[in-house]
Amino acid sequence: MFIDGRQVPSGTILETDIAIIGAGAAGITLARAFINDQRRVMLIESGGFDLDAETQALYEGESQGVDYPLDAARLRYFGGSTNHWGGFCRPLAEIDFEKRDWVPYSGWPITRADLDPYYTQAQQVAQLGRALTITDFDDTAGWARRNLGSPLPFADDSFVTRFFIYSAPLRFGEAYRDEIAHAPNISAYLNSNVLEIVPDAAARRVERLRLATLAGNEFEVRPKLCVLAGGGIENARLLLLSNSVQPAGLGNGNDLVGRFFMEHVHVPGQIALIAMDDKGSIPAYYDEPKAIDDAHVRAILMPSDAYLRRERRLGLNIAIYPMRPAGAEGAPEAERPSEAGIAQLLRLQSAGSGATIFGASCAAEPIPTPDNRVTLAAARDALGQNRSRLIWRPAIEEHRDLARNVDALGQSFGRWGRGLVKALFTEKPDWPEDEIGWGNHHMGTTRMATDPKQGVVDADARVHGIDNLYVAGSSVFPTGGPVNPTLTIVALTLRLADHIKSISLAGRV
Amino acid sequence: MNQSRRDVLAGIGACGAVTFAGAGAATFLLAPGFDRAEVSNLLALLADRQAAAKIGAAWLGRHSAYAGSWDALPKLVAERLVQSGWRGGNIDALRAQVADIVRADFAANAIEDVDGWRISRFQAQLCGLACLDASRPRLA
Repeated sequence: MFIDGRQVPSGTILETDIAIIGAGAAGITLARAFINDQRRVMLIESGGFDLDAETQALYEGESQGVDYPLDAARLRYFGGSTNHWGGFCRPLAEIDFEKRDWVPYSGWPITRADLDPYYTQAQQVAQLGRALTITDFDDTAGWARRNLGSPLPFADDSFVTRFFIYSAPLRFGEAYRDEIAHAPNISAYLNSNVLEIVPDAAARRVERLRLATLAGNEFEVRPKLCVLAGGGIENARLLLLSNSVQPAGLGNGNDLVGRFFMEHVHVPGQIALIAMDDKGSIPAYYDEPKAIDDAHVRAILMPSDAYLRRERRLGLNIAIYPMRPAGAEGAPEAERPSEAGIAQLLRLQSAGSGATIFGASCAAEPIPTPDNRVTLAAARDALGQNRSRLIWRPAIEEHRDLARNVDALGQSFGRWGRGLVKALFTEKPDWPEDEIGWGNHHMGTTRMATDPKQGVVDADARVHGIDNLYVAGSSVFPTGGPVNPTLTIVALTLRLADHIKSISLAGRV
Repeated sequence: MNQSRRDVLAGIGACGAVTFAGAGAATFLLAPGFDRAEVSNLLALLADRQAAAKIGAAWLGRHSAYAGSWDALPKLVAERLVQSGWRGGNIDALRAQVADIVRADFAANAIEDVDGWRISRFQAQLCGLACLDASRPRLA
């Protein structure tokens, strides 16, 4: 059932078993996990079914460091940011969960194996088809050989072929709207904004949620258990705004809420050009998504785990695509002579008839950094709430590793003998602003850690010190890995649903 | 033949503007164990030598020891081939041998940066040869 919060009389007090704040990928996934369950679920969404400028403006904020578009980088209506999602899916790798002594603050309190069954379920939720099992994501060379033909046969182990699997992309709000509407135990309140999560006097349990709408009415929800699923920036913001009992913000006794913000830097344009002796040297399934049974997959290049451990580097993923014949029209005038010469060097080895230039673009793994953070700005939104202030500057170590990984890519293609690489992204003492793009992936601001001094939520995603408050979404990621977060968000949420069901059976909900 | 360093550098400066006289012009590349026909074959691997020579000019611009002599780089290239096990053969065998050397360079991180392109040291040296060959005065 959907209810327009603007129609709820001011002063109304609503009760529920589970309140879910936010109806994006995490919130909708969690609500669906409880359909036909005995517990009453309230799904609370700030927006309606469509983008509304006044509601979207609640996302406006300030940024320091990188000039970051806080209002454009996410969407505030039913379905959340899946409404502009690109559909890229890939699980994090085992190494992404590990403590790596060369990556500060790395290490999850759970492993990839803990998430594997949930990744499998998440593939169904994101409607990714069944062409790849979770194991296939790790043995992609074997999967590619069986289904698509041999991947690039590098002579060294530095780079390996892996796959993104593509969602349609699924708009969670559209896809699951009817299910939510007809679920007898789910009430979805639209146009309803949580202003504060109010705990008891000891700040050990959430007692109530204060809500308001842009129409001016205010009401309360009293849940037995609350899950914050508002996105990587808004989760931190709402905890910081929930300060009537704990002045520093709810769950912020160790000054960690909002810290460790991470984004995947997407360098604008190409990080490298790759001259190949023959366009066919790179199979077409690297260029664009390829349909396999009921799935769409595209190959990418990633550093192998062995390479990352050996070289002590951050990860990345590289997409490659054909651009033009080497030295041909379309190449910048200044590039043509050297491209023609490079083509000669490729012919020297393979006696091919020409060379093709491929572009290489990337997304890179961020370093968790406490100074990159979400705080509250002095300016307030239309509901009187402090706006977000995002402080984000990618670390120079991220730049260094990316440049060195590009060099390693050149070495791998050279050793193979079929291609040569031009590095467009090279080491610099500072990270120039024009080399910073982003993926709209907001991670880390309520990071997961066993120790309350190291993280905001525990391994079950429960806020340390508060019995009935949980967080869903990429804000719990301690590290971000080098791939898009949505599949992991959904997997973690399904794991959280199982956890809540288990504690419910123990009589707490 | 006794050109000065200035002659060589002047020739390299004009590298790329020279009209090639064909593979047979590369008669300077002589070293023990490397005969005249193989010299021709080596440069013949570079079908568009003028394009390769431009890469070579950029590389020679940063390697003055080879830019100042007609003989040093040819000797180095020939020795590298022989040291890699080259015992003679046709152009296809030479192509395979060069490919082996290039892969070995990349494996050993013997990589040169020319205009951002990461090429092997031997590839750079071959391009340097093409440049020298293009810039060398043709004596009657």
